[in-house]
Amino acid sequence: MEVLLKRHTLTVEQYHQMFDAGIITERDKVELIKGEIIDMSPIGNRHSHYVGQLTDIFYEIFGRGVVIRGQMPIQLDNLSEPEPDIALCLPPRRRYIDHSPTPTETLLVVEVSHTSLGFDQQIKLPLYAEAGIPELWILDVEGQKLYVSKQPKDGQYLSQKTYTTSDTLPVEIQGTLHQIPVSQILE
Amino acid sequence: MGLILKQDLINVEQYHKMFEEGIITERDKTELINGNIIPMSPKGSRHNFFINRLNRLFGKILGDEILVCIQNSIQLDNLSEPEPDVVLCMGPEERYWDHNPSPEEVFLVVEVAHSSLAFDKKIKIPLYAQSGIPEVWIIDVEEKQLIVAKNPQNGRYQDLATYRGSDTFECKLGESTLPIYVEKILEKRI
Repeated sequence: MEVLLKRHTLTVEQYHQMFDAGIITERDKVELIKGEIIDMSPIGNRHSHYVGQLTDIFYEIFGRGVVIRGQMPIQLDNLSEPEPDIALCLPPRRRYIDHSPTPTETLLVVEVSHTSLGFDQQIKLPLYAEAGIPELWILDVEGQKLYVSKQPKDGQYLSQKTYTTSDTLPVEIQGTLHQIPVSQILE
Repeated sequence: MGLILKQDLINVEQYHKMFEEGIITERDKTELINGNIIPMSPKGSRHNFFINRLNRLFGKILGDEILVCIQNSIQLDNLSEPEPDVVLCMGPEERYWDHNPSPEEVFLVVEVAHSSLAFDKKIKIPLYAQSGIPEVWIIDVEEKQLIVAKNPQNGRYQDLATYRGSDTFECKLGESTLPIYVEKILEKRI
């Protein structure tokens, strides 16, 4: 379709009102991106596997030192509330009982890309950069690569590195440095 | 951007509920097109001129059996509730107390296209054809011409014509036929 449709945009508050009124429900599997309600891609077995694998690794390393959230919303601004595959956030877990983590409460976001690599790189990455999410990992399941973006500034990540299964990834969270073999993530 | 975002589609029922809950209001000036909530383009004086012109002309000729609706919603199907600029539908107005006109009740839809010509031609016309709206007019304000689409079959209008200047044609409204003098619609002075 050559004609670009400009859609009416919704704020996070209106989006939450739609849930409260039952107009959309969790079963709709949607996220709010720049004021638009977007269908999330269905999560296949491989996708689930890598999300689980990374979650296990994070639990082993951090224990309860960070809050590990799997496919739960984070609120970036007034128009975006995505649900990343994994978000590492400031502890304790209970602090999020009345709100979704904000960018300043988020340490790392991971998106596992099976079918959604283009969307994650072209839409999600700039969105997270604009919001100031300090670190983003995009795990390219098909290409067996891990794209690590850091230092958000003016809607871009100044540091972007690509890791393959032969690399070891340095991860610094809350002042402590850890080394994770990429092969372990993509196992 | 080269990427197709898969938007979650909103049906007419969800759309109405959003109004009831105050999540969107009339002031947002939106319409529902193929499950997407679309902001309508702002209407300038030229746009309003043609709507008023048609309203007066139709009002003079038509009796109570045919209702002239100005920027009212019509419900095409479960995913589309547009607000055409002018709609001629079965009268009287009481029959629409509890629902918006459906395609079987509509004779003619008119869209005045100033900045929205591409959208009206590429999105609106196929949409009206698919729902079986018998006739659509698009007033092309820029080019001073009237595009007329008739005879919807298999989601397409079989007869498309463009009229300008002193052209005349006939418009069928149910059982009656209306002669149309294009300059009476398009010319600033008559």
